[in-house]
Amino acid sequence: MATQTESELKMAQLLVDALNLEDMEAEEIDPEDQLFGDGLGLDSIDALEISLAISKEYGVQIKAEDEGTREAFKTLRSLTAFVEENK
Amino acid sequence: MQSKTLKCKIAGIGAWGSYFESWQALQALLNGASLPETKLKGPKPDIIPANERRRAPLPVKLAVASSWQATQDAGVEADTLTCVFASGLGDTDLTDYMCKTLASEHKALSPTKFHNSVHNAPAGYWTISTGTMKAANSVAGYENLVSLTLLEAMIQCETENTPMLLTFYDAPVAQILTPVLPNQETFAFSLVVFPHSADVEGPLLTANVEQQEHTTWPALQSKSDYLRRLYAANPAAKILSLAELLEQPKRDIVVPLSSGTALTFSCEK
Repeated sequence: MATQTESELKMAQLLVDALNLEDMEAEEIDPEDQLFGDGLGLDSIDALEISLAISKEYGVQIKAEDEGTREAFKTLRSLTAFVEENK
Repeated sequence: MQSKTLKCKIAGIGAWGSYFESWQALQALLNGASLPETKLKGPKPDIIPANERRRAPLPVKLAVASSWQATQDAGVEADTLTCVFASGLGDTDLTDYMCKTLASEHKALSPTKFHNSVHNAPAGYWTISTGTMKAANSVAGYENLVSLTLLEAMIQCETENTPMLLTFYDAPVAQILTPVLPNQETFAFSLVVFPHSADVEGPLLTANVEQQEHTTWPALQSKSDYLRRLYAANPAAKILSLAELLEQPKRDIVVPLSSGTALTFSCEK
Protein backbone atom coordinates (compact mmCIF):
# COMPACT_ATOMS: atom_id res chain seq x y z
CA MET A 1 0.00 0.00 0.00
CA ALA A 2 1.21 3.51 -0.87
CA THR A 3 1.89 5.81 2.11
CA GLN A 4 -0.78 8.38 3.03
CA THR A 5 0.19 12.02 3.48
CA GLU A 6 -1.28 13.94 6.42
CA SER A 7 -3.93 15.62 4.26
CA GLU A 8 -4.82 12.28 2.64
CA LEU A 9 -5.34 10.75 6.08
CA LYS A 10 -7.67 13.62 6.98
CA MET A 11 -9.61 13.07 3.76
CA ALA A 12 -9.70 9.31 4.42
CA GLN A 13 -11.23 9.98 7.83
CA LEU A 14 -13.86 12.19 6.18
CA LEU A 15 -14.74 9.30 3.83
CA VAL A 16 -14.98 6.76 6.65
CA ASP A 17 -17.21 9.10 8.69
CA ALA A 18 -19.40 10.40 5.86
CA LEU A 19 -19.96 6.98 4.32
CA ASN A 20 -20.05 5.00 7.58
CA LEU A 21 -17.61 2.50 6.07
CA GLU A 22 -18.02 -0.69 8.10
CA ASP A 23 -14.97 -2.31 9.63
CA MET A 24 -12.56 0.12 7.94
CA GLU A 25 -10.06 2.52 9.46
CA ALA A 26 -8.98 5.70 7.68
CA GLU A 27 -5.36 4.47 7.75
CA GLU A 28 -6.34 1.40 5.71
CA ILE A 29 -7.43 3.29 2.58
CA ASP A 30 -4.70 3.02 -0.04
CA PRO A 31 -4.33 6.52 -1.58
CA GLU A 32 -3.76 4.96 -5.01
CA ASP A 33 -6.69 2.48 -4.97
CA GLN A 34 -9.82 3.14 -7.04
CA LEU A 35 -12.53 4.62 -4.80
CA PHE A 36 -15.40 3.45 -7.02
CA GLY A 37 -16.15 0.12 -8.66
CA ASP A 38 -13.59 -2.57 -7.92
CA GLY A 39 -11.50 -0.69 -5.35
CA LEU A 40 -13.32 0.53 -2.27
CA GLY A 41 -16.67 -0.38 -3.86
CA LEU A 42 -18.28 3.05 -3.53
CA ASP A 43 -21.27 4.02 -5.68
CA SER A 44 -23.09 7.10 -6.97
CA ILE A 45 -24.87 7.86 -3.67
CA ASP A 46 -21.44 7.84 -2.01
CA ALA A 47 -20.21 10.39 -4.57
CA LEU A 48 -23.03 12.73 -3.50
CA GLU A 49 -22.24 12.17 0.19
CA ILE A 50 -18.53 12.87 -0.41
CA SER A 51 -19.34 16.10 -2.30
CA LEU A 52 -21.57 17.26 0.56
CA ALA A 53 -18.99 16.41 3.23
CA ILE A 54 -16.19 18.15 1.29
CA SER A 55 -18.32 21.24 0.78
CA LYS A 56 -19.04 21.43 4.54
CA GLU A 57 -15.49 20.63 5.67
CA TYR A 58 -13.40 22.47 3.05
CA GLY A 59 -15.88 24.87 1.41
CA VAL A 60 -15.05 23.32 -1.98
CA GLN A 61 -17.98 22.73 -4.34
CA ILE A 62 -17.73 19.65 -6.57
CA LYS A 63 -20.16 19.75 -9.46
CA ALA A 64 -21.22 16.64 -11.39
CA GLU A 65 -20.98 18.41 -14.75
CA ASP A 66 -17.43 19.76 -14.27
CA GLU A 67 -14.76 18.14 -16.42
CA GLY A 68 -12.31 17.54 -13.59
CA THR A 69 -14.83 15.78 -11.33
CA ARG A 70 -14.46 12.27 -12.75
CA GLU A 71 -10.67 12.54 -12.49
CA ALA A 72 -10.89 13.94 -8.94
CA PHE A 73 -13.00 11.02 -7.71
CA LYS A 74 -10.58 8.38 -8.97
CA THR A 75 -8.51 7.83 -5.83
CA LEU A 76 -8.01 9.24 -2.34
CA ARG A 77 -4.85 10.91 -3.69
CA SER A 78 -6.58 12.64 -6.62
CA LEU A 79 -9.52 13.72 -4.45
CA THR A 80 -7.22 15.21 -1.82
CA ALA A 81 -5.17 17.01 -4.50
CA PHE A 82 -8.35 18.38 -6.12
CA VAL A 83 -9.58 19.80 -2.81
CA GLU A 84 -6.14 21.27 -1.98
CA GLU A 85 -6.05 23.02 -5.38
CA ASN A 86 -9.56 24.42 -5.10
CA LYS A 87 -9.65 25.52 -1.45
CA MET B 1 -72.02 -2.31 14.65
CA GLN B 2 -71.80 -6.10 14.61
CA SER B 3 -68.71 -7.75 15.98
CA LYS B 4 -66.38 -8.91 13.19
CA THR B 5 -64.10 -11.90 13.78
CA LEU B 6 -60.70 -12.33 12.12
CA LYS B 7 -58.49 -15.41 12.49
CA CYS B 8 -54.94 -16.31 11.55
CA LYS B 9 -52.26 -18.82 12.50
CA ILE B 10 -48.92 -17.65 13.85
CA ALA B 11 -46.19 -19.60 12.07
CA GLY B 12 -43.05 -17.69 13.08
CA ILE B 13 -41.83 -15.05 15.53
CA GLY B 14 -38.76 -12.80 15.67
CA ALA B 15 -37.66 -10.34 18.35
CA TRP B 16 -34.81 -7.95 19.06
CA GLY B 17 -34.20 -5.58 21.99
CA SER B 18 -31.42 -4.25 24.21
CA TYR B 19 -31.52 -7.45 26.31
CA PHE B 20 -32.69 -10.11 23.83
CA GLU B 21 -31.64 -11.14 20.34
CA SER B 22 -34.37 -13.70 19.64
CA TRP B 23 -37.94 -14.66 20.49
CA GLN B 24 -36.60 -17.43 22.73
CA ALA B 25 -34.57 -14.90 24.75
CA LEU B 26 -37.59 -12.58 25.02
CA GLN B 27 -39.77 -15.54 26.10
CA ALA B 28 -37.27 -16.24 28.88
CA LEU B 29 -37.55 -12.62 30.09
CA LEU B 30 -41.36 -12.76 29.93
CA ASN B 31 -41.20 -15.92 32.04
CA GLY B 32 -39.12 -14.28 34.75
CA ALA B 33 -35.48 -14.79 33.72
CA SER B 34 -33.13 -12.09 35.04
CA LEU B 35 -31.70 -9.48 32.65
CA PRO B 36 -28.40 -10.32 30.96
CA GLU B 37 -25.52 -8.15 32.20
CA THR B 38 -24.63 -6.79 28.78
CA LYS B 39 -26.85 -4.30 27.01
CA LEU B 40 -26.83 -4.88 23.26
CA LYS B 41 -26.14 -1.96 20.93
CA GLY B 42 -27.99 -2.92 17.78
CA PRO B 43 -28.41 -5.77 15.33
CA LYS B 44 -26.23 -6.20 12.24
CA PRO B 45 -28.50 -8.01 9.80
CA ASP B 46 -26.27 -9.82 7.30
CA ILE B 47 -29.17 -10.15 4.91
CA ILE B 48 -28.82 -6.45 3.94
CA PRO B 49 -26.10 -6.11 1.25
CA ALA B 50 -22.96 -4.45 2.73
CA ASN B 51 -23.28 -1.18 0.76
CA GLU B 52 -26.88 -0.78 1.92
CA ARG B 53 -26.22 -1.93 5.48
CA ARG B 54 -23.69 0.80 6.20
CA ARG B 55 -26.38 3.32 5.22
CA ALA B 56 -29.10 1.67 7.28
CA PRO B 57 -30.08 3.49 10.49
CA LEU B 58 -31.01 1.64 13.69
CA PRO B 59 -34.81 1.44 13.06
CA VAL B 60 -34.15 -0.21 9.67
CA LYS B 61 -31.67 -2.70 11.12
CA LEU B 62 -34.08 -3.55 13.95
CA ALA B 63 -36.96 -4.15 11.55
CA VAL B 64 -34.95 -6.21 9.08
CA ALA B 65 -33.23 -8.36 11.74
CA SER B 66 -36.49 -9.19 13.46
CA SER B 67 -38.32 -9.83 10.16
CA TRP B 68 -35.60 -12.21 9.00
CA GLN B 69 -35.77 -14.16 12.29
CA ALA B 70 -39.54 -14.60 11.91
CA THR B 71 -39.25 -15.92 8.34
CA GLN B 72 -36.53 -18.35 9.47
CA ASP B 73 -38.64 -19.45 12.43
CA ALA B 74 -41.61 -20.05 10.12
CA GLY B 75 -39.43 -21.83 7.56
CA VAL B 76 -40.82 -19.77 4.69
CA GLU B 77 -39.19 -17.86 1.85
CA ALA B 78 -39.25 -14.13 2.58
CA ASP B 79 -40.44 -13.34 -0.95
CA THR B 80 -43.74 -15.19 -0.39
CA LEU B 81 -44.92 -12.81 2.33
CA THR B 82 -46.97 -9.63 1.99
CA CYS B 83 -45.56 -7.20 4.54
CA VAL B 84 -46.76 -4.66 7.06
CA PHE B 85 -44.10 -2.61 8.84
CA ALA B 86 -45.14 -0.56 11.85
CA SER B 87 -43.46 2.15 13.90
CA GLY B 88 -45.10 4.60 16.25
CA LEU B 89 -42.14 7.01 16.30
CA GLY B 90 -40.33 6.65 12.97
CA ASP B 91 -36.69 7.73 12.95
CA THR B 92 -36.49 10.72 15.29
CA ASP B 93 -32.68 11.00 14.91
CA LEU B 94 -33.25 11.73 11.24
CA THR B 95 -36.16 14.08 11.95
CA ASP B 96 -33.84 15.99 14.28
CA TYR B 97 -30.99 15.98 11.73
CA MET B 98 -33.25 17.29 8.94
CA CYS B 99 -34.74 20.06 11.09
CA LYS B 100 -31.30 21.16 12.36
CA THR B 101 -29.77 21.14 8.87
CA LEU B 102 -32.64 23.03 7.27
CA ALA B 103 -32.45 25.63 10.04
CA SER B 104 -28.68 26.08 9.59
CA GLU B 105 -26.64 28.12 7.14
CA HIS B 106 -25.65 25.08 5.04
CA LYS B 107 -29.00 23.59 4.09
CA ALA B 108 -27.77 20.77 1.88
CA LEU B 109 -29.08 17.46 3.25
CA SER B 110 -27.24 14.16 3.12
CA PRO B 111 -28.94 12.18 0.32
CA THR B 112 -28.64 9.00 2.38
CA LYS B 113 -30.24 10.55 5.45
CA PHE B 114 -32.96 12.16 3.34
CA HIS B 115 -33.72 8.84 1.67
CA ASN B 116 -33.76 7.07 5.05
CA SER B 117 -36.11 9.63 6.61
CA VAL B 118 -39.30 8.29 5.03
CA HIS B 119 -41.56 6.14 7.19
CA ASN B 120 -41.36 3.17 4.80
CA ALA B 121 -37.53 3.05 4.74
CA PRO B 122 -37.47 -0.37 6.54
CA ALA B 123 -39.97 -1.75 4.00
CA GLY B 124 -37.64 -0.55 1.24
CA TYR B 125 -34.51 -2.13 2.76
CA TRP B 126 -36.45 -5.36 3.39
CA THR B 127 -37.78 -5.63 -0.15
CA ILE B 128 -34.33 -4.85 -1.64
CA SER B 129 -32.59 -7.33 0.69
CA THR B 130 -35.01 -10.20 0.05
CA GLY B 131 -35.86 -9.38 -3.56
CA THR B 132 -39.54 -9.67 -2.75
CA MET B 133 -42.07 -8.20 -5.17
CA LYS B 134 -44.94 -8.58 -2.68
CA ALA B 135 -46.80 -5.54 -1.38
CA ALA B 136 -45.27 -3.80 1.63
CA ASN B 137 -47.35 -1.42 3.70
CA SER B 138 -46.09 0.91 6.42
CA VAL B 139 -48.25 1.92 9.36
CA ALA B 140 -47.87 4.74 11.87
CA GLY B 141 -50.34 5.31 14.69
CA TYR B 142 -48.32 6.16 17.79
CA GLU B 143 -49.95 4.58 20.86
CA ASN B 144 -52.46 2.51 18.87
CA LEU B 145 -49.94 1.39 16.31
CA VAL B 146 -49.99 -2.25 17.37
CA SER B 147 -53.75 -2.76 17.23
CA LEU B 148 -54.08 -0.88 13.91
CA THR B 149 -51.30 -2.97 12.39
CA LEU B 150 -52.72 -6.28 13.59
CA LEU B 151 -56.12 -5.31 12.19
CA GLU B 152 -54.58 -4.27 8.85
CA ALA B 153 -52.54 -7.47 8.55
CA MET B 154 -55.30 -9.85 9.67
CA ILE B 155 -57.74 -8.29 7.18
CA GLN B 156 -55.20 -8.67 4.35
CA CYS B 157 -54.36 -12.22 5.45
CA GLU B 158 -58.03 -13.23 5.40
CA THR B 159 -59.36 -11.31 2.40
CA GLU B 160 -56.32 -11.91 0.16
CA ASN B 161 -55.81 -15.43 1.55
CA THR B 162 -52.08 -14.75 1.78
CA PRO B 163 -49.35 -15.28 4.38
CA MET B 164 -48.15 -12.03 5.97
CA LEU B 165 -45.09 -10.62 7.69
CA LEU B 166 -45.84 -8.06 10.43
CA THR B 167 -42.95 -6.15 11.97
CA PHE B 168 -43.21 -3.69 14.85
CA TYR B 169 -40.15 -1.57 15.68
CA ASP B 170 -39.28 1.59 17.59
CA ALA B 171 -35.85 2.98 18.47
CA PRO B 172 -34.81 5.40 21.26
CA VAL B 173 -35.97 8.98 20.64
CA ALA B 174 -33.52 11.79 19.82
CA GLN B 175 -32.63 13.74 22.96
CA ILE B 176 -34.33 16.98 21.91
CA LEU B 177 -37.71 15.28 21.46
CA THR B 178 -37.75 13.40 24.76
CA PRO B 179 -39.96 15.99 26.55
CA VAL B 180 -42.80 14.90 24.21
CA LEU B 181 -41.69 11.38 23.22
CA PRO B 182 -39.88 9.84 26.20
CA ASN B 183 -39.02 6.42 24.76
CA GLN B 184 -35.37 5.43 25.30
CA GLU B 185 -35.84 1.69 24.69
CA THR B 186 -34.96 -0.33 21.60
CA PHE B 187 -37.47 -2.90 20.39
CA ALA B 188 -38.51 -4.96 17.37
CA PHE B 189 -40.93 -7.86 17.06
CA SER B 190 -42.14 -9.79 14.00
CA LEU B 191 -44.86 -12.29 13.25
CA VAL B 192 -45.35 -14.49 10.21
CA VAL B 193 -49.06 -15.31 10.00
CA PHE B 194 -51.04 -17.59 7.68
CA PRO B 195 -54.75 -17.76 6.89
CA HIS B 196 -56.42 -19.89 9.60
CA SER B 197 -57.29 -22.63 7.08
CA ALA B 198 -53.64 -23.04 5.99
CA ASP B 199 -51.91 -26.33 6.67
CA VAL B 200 -49.22 -24.94 8.97
CA GLU B 201 -48.34 -25.47 12.63
CA GLY B 202 -48.83 -22.65 15.10
CA PRO B 203 -51.18 -21.00 17.58
CA LEU B 204 -54.53 -19.76 16.24
CA LEU B 205 -55.10 -16.06 16.94
CA THR B 206 -58.66 -14.72 16.94
CA ALA B 207 -59.45 -11.02 16.92
CA ASN B 208 -62.84 -9.37 17.36
CA VAL B 209 -63.46 -5.75 16.47
CA GLU B 210 -65.93 -4.46 19.04
CA GLN B 211 -67.79 -1.24 19.53
CA GLN B 212 -66.69 -0.16 22.96
CA GLU B 213 -64.70 2.69 24.38
CA HIS B 214 -61.42 1.26 25.58
CA THR B 215 -58.49 3.60 26.07
CA THR B 216 -55.98 1.65 28.14
CA TRP B 217 -53.65 -1.22 27.26
CA PRO B 218 -53.80 -4.29 29.51
CA ALA B 219 -51.22 -4.45 32.31
CA LEU B 220 -48.34 -6.82 31.59
CA GLN B 221 -48.35 -10.04 33.62
CA SER B 222 -44.56 -9.81 33.84
CA LYS B 223 -43.09 -8.23 36.97
CA SER B 224 -39.88 -7.21 35.18
CA ASP B 225 -39.18 -3.47 35.58
CA TYR B 226 -37.37 -3.47 32.25
CA LEU B 227 -40.27 -5.07 30.33
CA ARG B 228 -42.81 -2.79 32.01
CA ARG B 229 -40.75 0.29 31.12
CA LEU B 230 -40.38 -0.96 27.55
CA TYR B 231 -44.12 -1.67 27.31
CA ALA B 232 -45.05 1.76 28.68
CA ALA B 233 -42.66 3.93 26.65
CA ASN B 234 -42.07 2.18 23.33
CA PRO B 235 -45.18 2.21 21.07
CA ALA B 236 -44.10 -0.93 19.13
CA ALA B 237 -43.58 -2.81 22.41
CA LYS B 238 -47.35 -2.76 23.06
CA ILE B 239 -47.17 -6.04 21.09
CA LEU B 240 -45.76 -7.54 24.33
CA SER B 241 -49.39 -7.85 25.47
CA LEU B 242 -49.93 -10.26 22.58
CA ALA B 243 -46.58 -11.97 23.19
CA GLU B 244 -47.72 -12.70 26.74
CA LEU B 245 -51.04 -14.00 25.43
CA LEU B 246 -49.15 -16.47 23.23
CA GLU B 247 -47.24 -17.64 26.31
CA GLN B 248 -50.33 -17.84 28.56
CA PRO B 249 -53.33 -18.32 26.26
CA LYS B 250 -56.00 -19.08 28.87
CA ARG B 251 -57.51 -15.57 28.80
CA ASP B 252 -58.54 -12.79 26.41
CA ILE B 253 -56.96 -9.38 26.11
CA VAL B 254 -58.73 -6.18 25.06
CA VAL B 255 -56.70 -3.40 23.44
CA PRO B 256 -57.69 0.08 22.24
CA LEU B 257 -58.23 0.47 18.49
CA SER B 258 -59.77 3.88 17.88
CA SER B 259 -62.21 6.20 19.56
CA GLY B 260 -65.19 3.98 20.30
CA THR B 261 -63.70 0.68 19.11
CA ALA B 262 -61.50 -2.00 20.65
CA LEU B 263 -59.92 -5.29 19.61
CA THR B 264 -60.28 -8.45 21.67
CA PHE B 265 -57.67 -11.17 21.14
CA SER B 266 -57.75 -14.79 22.14
CA CYS B 267 -55.30 -17.55 21.34
CA GLU B 268 -55.50 -21.35 21.04
CA LYS B 269 -52.27 -23.33 20.99
